[in-house]
Amino acid sequence: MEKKFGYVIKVDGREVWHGLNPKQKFNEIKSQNIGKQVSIAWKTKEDVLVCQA
Amino acid sequence: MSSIEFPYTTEKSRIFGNVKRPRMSISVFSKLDDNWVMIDDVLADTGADLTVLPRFIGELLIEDITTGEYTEIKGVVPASVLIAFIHLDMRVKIDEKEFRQPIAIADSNNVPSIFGRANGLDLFDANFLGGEKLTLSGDD
Repeated sequence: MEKKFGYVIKVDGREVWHGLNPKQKFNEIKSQNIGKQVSIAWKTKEDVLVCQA
Repeated sequence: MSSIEFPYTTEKSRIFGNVKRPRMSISVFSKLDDNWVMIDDVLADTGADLTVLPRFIGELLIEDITTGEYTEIKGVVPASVLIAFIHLDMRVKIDEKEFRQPIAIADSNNVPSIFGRANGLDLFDANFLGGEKLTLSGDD
C-alpha cells in the first residue's frame, strides 16, 4: 500500500530527494553539499485538514 | 528586539480547495553528528503544548529516541493516542536566536513536524498576520 506521507530533503531550498527513510540519505546528501543549506521536511500527500493538540 | 518572518504556505484541501498554513524552519542540534539539522515546513501551532517531530527526523538528532520521557499525546481525534518520548533540553535555533526547549519525538513517522508553545512559541511575541505571514519577535 502506498504511504501517504514521507520525507523530503532539500539543498538550498530545492528538493533533491523524497522517500520514507531519510536517515542515511540526509547524511550522504549533506556530505556531498558542504557549504550549502541542507534541510529536511515531513510531507503528507493527503489533502486533510490539520487539527493537532 | 528582532523579528523573524515566515510567509504562510498554500496547500491543498479537499474542503477549501486551498488552505494557508503558518509553516516555519527551525534548526535542532544533533547530538549524533555534533551539528545543526535544519527542519523545514514545521507547523507553528498555538494549540500544541510542545514541539513534536516525527521519528526519523528525531533519529537524526538522537541515537536512541526512547531515552526520553515516555508520554502519550492526545489530539482532537477521540481514542487516538500518539506515543512519544520527550527530550527536555534540546538546542533549537530560529534564524540566529538559540534556545533550549523540550521536544517530543514521536514513535511514528505519520506525524507532522509541529512547533508548539512550551519554551517555543511562548518565547516570542507571535503574530499570525492576516493569514499571510507569521512573525516571531523577541529579545536578541
